[in-house]
Amino acid sequence: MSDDKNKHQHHILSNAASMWVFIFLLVFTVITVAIAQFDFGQLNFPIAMLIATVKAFAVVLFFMGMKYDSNDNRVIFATSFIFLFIFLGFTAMDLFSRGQIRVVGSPLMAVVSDKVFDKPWLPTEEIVAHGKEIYVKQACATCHGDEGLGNGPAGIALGARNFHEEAGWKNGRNPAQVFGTLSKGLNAMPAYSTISESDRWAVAHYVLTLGPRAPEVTEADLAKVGVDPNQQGAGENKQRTLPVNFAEKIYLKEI
Amino acid sequence: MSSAHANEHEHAHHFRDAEHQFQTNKQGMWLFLLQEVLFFAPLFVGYIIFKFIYFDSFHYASKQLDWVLGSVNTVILIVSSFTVARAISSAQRGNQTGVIENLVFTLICGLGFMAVKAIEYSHKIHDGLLPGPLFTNTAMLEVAPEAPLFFTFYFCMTGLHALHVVGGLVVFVWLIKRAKRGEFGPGYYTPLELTGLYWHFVDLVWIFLFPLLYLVG
Repeated sequence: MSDDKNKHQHHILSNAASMWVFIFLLVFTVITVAIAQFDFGQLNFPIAMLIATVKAFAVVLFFMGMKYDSNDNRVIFATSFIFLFIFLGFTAMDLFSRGQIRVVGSPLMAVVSDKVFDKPWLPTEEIVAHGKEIYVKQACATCHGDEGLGNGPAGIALGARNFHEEAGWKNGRNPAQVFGTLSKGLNAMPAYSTISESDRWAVAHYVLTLGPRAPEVTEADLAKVGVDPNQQGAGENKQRTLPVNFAEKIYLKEI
Repeated sequence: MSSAHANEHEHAHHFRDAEHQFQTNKQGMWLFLLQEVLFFAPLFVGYIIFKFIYFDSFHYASKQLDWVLGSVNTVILIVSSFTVARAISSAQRGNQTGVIENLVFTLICGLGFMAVKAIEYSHKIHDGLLPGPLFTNTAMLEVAPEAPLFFTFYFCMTGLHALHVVGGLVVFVWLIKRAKRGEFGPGYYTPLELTGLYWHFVDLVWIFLFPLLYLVG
């Protein structure tokens, strides 16, 4: 650490230098506040962090004297930031890739039952029981939890729905609307268009039994999800196979 | 070591000389600052992660903070960093009054920072935005359901930072007393140098806290 040549030769920050650093920091504070008045969307965060980093360098290099310090001390301080970035990087990588794993994985579990219900939009005891079975087979609990509290291992980070709550259902909470969400997905919730329509209706009915009584389905609601209750065979499944484009994707990946 | 004289500082027996002792003390301070970075790291990481998960709620909650007060505090800390740097260079040049003046000014800045913080906190408490079960602002929950999490981060991060400021202020009072006894000079100013490093670090934390919480939330 101590170097006899450097004895009593500590660097003295000149008044002019400290004044320049001071002005530099003030100017960049004004810049970051001014820029924050405009919305650059996704860029807001990186811009603000870039300016903060520039200011931090001025403080560390001159006020803290890192520019004139020993390599030991540089390594010590730099190490802390390396660990900070490892911490941030791996946490972010883990959290923001969980949804993707579910989306890729779920179609492979597609064919789970042959059950077909006549009028699947009606919440009978039979269809609710079937829905519970599908809920387990499709591993809905991974996100939504065993009790449907939205507290599954992957669900907390993704903000999975708690079925016991009445408020906040983005698409509404009558069976047709929940069926729609299951078919098309919502934010981190993947689309389950690869399981049969009857299965989707069944899951919708099941999760709705967990919360307060759900509103009943009207013909208008059914029309929105493309079901005409008066048509012959309306309850039958239109599509319940592994989609060809998905199979192709898997096939191409394996080549 | 308290009997030290400005120009002929004694060193502990396990050091070669005063310079060796100075450099070792300083390295100890850098090691302390390393763990300080890691001490704040989980809060920063947690905040950044949840900010992107609950983007809308955090955005709304962040708009409830007063960026003008935040900016005032940013400037106050920058001024105080400047005066600490000046106090050290004054000691290095043997300017005793310069040391005292700059330390007193730094102390005043620190008190000013805490005063602004007190104003901000009292507003937040008045609006029922305290963390956890103490969050009572139900109107905000309707618009921003995850707002309580934002304010938990807000109070933990700024509170921990404010504790660092208070700790610094106590040390500055002690330094002013020692400076008045003429203990610091070109031959010995270790406590000034180490406190300076600490104080700049406190400024550093705020440099990142301010934009994260007040500007881009």
